[in-house]
Amino acid sequence: MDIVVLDSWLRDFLETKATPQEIGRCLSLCGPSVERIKKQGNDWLYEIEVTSNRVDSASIIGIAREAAAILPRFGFKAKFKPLTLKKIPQPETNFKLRIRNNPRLCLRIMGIILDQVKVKPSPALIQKRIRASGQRPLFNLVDITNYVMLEVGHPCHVFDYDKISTHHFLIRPAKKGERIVSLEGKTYQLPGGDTVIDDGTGKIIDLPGIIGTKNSVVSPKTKRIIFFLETNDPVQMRKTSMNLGIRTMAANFNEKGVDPELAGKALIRGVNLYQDLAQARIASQIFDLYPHPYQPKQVGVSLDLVNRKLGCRLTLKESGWILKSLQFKVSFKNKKIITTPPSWRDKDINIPEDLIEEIARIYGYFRLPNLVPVGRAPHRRQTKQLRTEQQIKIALKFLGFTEAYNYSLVSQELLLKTGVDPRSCLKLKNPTNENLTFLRLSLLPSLLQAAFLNQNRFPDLKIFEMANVYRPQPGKLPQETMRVAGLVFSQNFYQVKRTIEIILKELGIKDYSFKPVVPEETCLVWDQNRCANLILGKKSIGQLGFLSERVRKEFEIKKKAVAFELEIFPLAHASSWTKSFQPIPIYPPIVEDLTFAVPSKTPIGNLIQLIKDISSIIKSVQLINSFKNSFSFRIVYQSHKKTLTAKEVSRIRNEVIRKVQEKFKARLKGNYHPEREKASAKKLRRRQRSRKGTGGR
Amino acid sequence: MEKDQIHNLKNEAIAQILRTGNKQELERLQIVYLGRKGKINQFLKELARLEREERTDIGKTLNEAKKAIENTLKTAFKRNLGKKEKTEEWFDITLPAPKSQIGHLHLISQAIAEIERIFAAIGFTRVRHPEVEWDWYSFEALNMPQNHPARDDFEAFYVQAPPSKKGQMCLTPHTSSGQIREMLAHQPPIRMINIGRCYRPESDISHAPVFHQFEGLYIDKNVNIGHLKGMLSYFAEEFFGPERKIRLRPYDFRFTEPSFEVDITCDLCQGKGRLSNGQNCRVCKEGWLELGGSGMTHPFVLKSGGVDPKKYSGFAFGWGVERVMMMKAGLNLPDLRLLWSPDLRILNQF
Repeated sequence: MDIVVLDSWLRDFLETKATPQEIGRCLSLCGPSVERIKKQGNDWLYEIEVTSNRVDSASIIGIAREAAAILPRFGFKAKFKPLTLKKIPQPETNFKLRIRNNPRLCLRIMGIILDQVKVKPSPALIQKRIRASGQRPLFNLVDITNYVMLEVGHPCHVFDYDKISTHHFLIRPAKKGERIVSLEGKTYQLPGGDTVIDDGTGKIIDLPGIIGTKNSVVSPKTKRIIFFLETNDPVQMRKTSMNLGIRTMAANFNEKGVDPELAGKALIRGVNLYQDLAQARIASQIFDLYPHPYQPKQVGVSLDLVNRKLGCRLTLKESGWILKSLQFKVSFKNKKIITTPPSWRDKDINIPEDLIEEIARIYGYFRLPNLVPVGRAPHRRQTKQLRTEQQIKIALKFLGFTEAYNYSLVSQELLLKTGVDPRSCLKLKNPTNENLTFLRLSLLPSLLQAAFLNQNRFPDLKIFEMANVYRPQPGKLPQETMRVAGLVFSQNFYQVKRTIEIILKELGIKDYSFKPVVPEETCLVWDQNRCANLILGKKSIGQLGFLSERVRKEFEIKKKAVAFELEIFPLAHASSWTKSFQPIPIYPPIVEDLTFAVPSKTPIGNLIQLIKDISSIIKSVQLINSFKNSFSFRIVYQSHKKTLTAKEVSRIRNEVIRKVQEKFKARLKGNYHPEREKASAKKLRRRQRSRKGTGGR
Repeated sequence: MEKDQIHNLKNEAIAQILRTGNKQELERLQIVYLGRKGKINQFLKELARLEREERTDIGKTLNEAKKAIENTLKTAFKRNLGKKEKTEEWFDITLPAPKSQIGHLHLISQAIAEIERIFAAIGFTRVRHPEVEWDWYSFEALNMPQNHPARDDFEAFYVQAPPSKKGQMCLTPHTSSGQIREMLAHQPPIRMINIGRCYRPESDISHAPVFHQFEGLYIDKNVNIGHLKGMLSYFAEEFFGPERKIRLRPYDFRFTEPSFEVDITCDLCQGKGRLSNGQNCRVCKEGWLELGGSGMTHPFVLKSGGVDPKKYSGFAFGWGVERVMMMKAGLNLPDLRLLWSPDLRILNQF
């Protein structure tokens, strides 16, 4: 909760010679955080953030109380000056008011009727202070309620007594759909359950704790008023305030739970001000409905625990002194500190650790030592998964890919565009925006959007993302699976296939294959004729392929694009960090090229695999050239036992030719060309370059 | 014909070769001495006229001389070539290198890798816990009971799914649920760094509805505030550089007691709160920027994780990856949501 405190007002309750800057610095280190200090004429303004457990300090008096405890720790003399209250005299007249509470909604209700009020502008000082605190001064009757709230920290309200003809206040929960018109003239429909004041006829005359209503508000014509305070149930306050979007300062106080004991002080302070500034006369008894009055409690902590948590050595006396400075009642028993917290700290002081916090902050966190963790380090190693993720990211970077981060929440439209049934995704109950409604099942839709956005400026786009997707599981949390997906503007499927092969090599995965997809099993993102599954073991762990015409049309992507999406877990599982040395072969290899003419639709990958599997002497088979249906392969024969003879090679070669012809109905073309390994590297590179042209076959 | 004559010839040739630095001159000398009608060949022709014994002896000498001249010439030619490369040919190093596409890791990935490294060095292992969670882990177990404001619809995203014994399904609004998961799965001592995606219904220049947090948890015997201070100072120095300082401010979090907000000195005004022209620094609060929350693990939370608060204590912190990254000197990113843009004009900058 952010409040603004005027320095001169603060000093009404704080006696110190510390400058505003010194006060600001000290408060921030030990108490409420002073975010800014601003000059205001010959005065100063503190902008202060008060944490929600410390609503007791969200007032001039609250800050003064904190400052009085904190400043002496920094060598500044400081003294808290309590509010001086004048006793309320006996009523001169006795106007009627019947209040019926609902103790679930209001913890305490206080009120008093004041007569013969003189309406006029507030004195300049009051106006200045209200304005400095960010409120708008109107006239004395209203200004006093704001002034009391800012000073004491308990919200209060004023009614025009004569506008409430029944003289009856009934506190009740609102029915759903009931309407109110606020004092600003705005109509609100209540969500139901909200605390309202009914005049006994069913008419709502106030939305207490949040905002006043038009039908009971004071005006310059008001003669008689009800000065009214209620301590509200914080939970209901927050609900109503957030649901209606009314974030008044009063609502901000009330939703944090104000100390009901404060209501008494605020009432007297208010009445004193009405007497002084509006010449009000007391016209009723003080109403006080307080079904469960505050009972002081005891909380204790051992000195040993204090010092163990602080990592230093405080004495019993010093710890006690700190708590006393915060107005705790303190006694000692066997090295234990027993305290009774003041009423305004009743809610947030419950366990020994709460006292430790009070001692530590006033002692000063900055005075505590900086230590490093010692002792036995736990044996937990980084998972393979995390290391694999990092390896893949780095590999993709050096392969020219740019990494994007996209929201994991997507729109229904995006799902439909990629042919995903929205019912198969987890959906938010409370989305703030239709673009962020469903949890992604795939990373590709986001990349398709990215491709659309970048297509005109980046014709060579290469983009990827790595993130979890969330697959629903009945009765369980969704399965979160880390995936990597990439998209490349390209005509060349094999370029992306190579990317994946490089990643697999980086991860030390040798046992994999690419298989054509089963059309029914793919989504319509892919061109089913130009799409493959990556198979690890026997399972498909992802796809790569051309984007379908349809999806490109949906996303208005003009260029051809190849994409991939892989699961990380199986990759991590199969990855290997083991490196093993292979002796360098000492016997020379024999290299030769064979060219086969094959029937159309022959899977060349399978053909190469067939050749490789023929003999362990075949060290490698490489496609070096192709023209129409002719494919030339460079085969390397090498033994680790001896120099191969022409005869031995010839036997294997014949086996190769026979099997290829038999299995693939292929025909050997021309003569084979035995070559030594030295075969010009230049020539080889030239061939590889010319191969590119046939890539899209 | 005397041996001396041959020696003289050799010496003369070598001297001449060594004296010249010119390629044409070397070629001329090559012809003069070693050419078909060159001086060595002249001697060879005369050799035939000698006695047999003398012939072998002189022949040997002549051959040695020829070899020596050849070698000298060879080295001279080589040196001559080298000289030309070094001194005469102009080489343009300003010509652009051939373009090959280099990719870019996202700033968030870079920050995560750095965070992981910094904590690994002091024995904190990176782990990962669910990003879609039951709200018991995200709230209840962290001492945020049913009506706590952080559980409001406007503070956390909930999923349309039937509730379980562990409550409603929600998207993790912070990585702190990982504290509970970690404690339930592992006995202390614990040194964890949990990094994951978080979700909250807010969007402005310093908040995106999807973001990352890194959650540290240290549980052991006798862990105290000094450890927390020491470790966060270490992180700040490693991540932001030694010139930046941190401070702890009292704060309020349900899952820690005491709780702190950690601030770091502003790099724009060097922690002064005023710029050199005397104006207030707009970026920070009186010289300080809020890094994030931390605190000593609340006994309630230890109990939720099955850890005995009488035996163990610990601390935790959960900070925004994007947030700390944006506080690094020099990045100058005006809006955190830019990190979630797929625009390559942004992504390719990093």
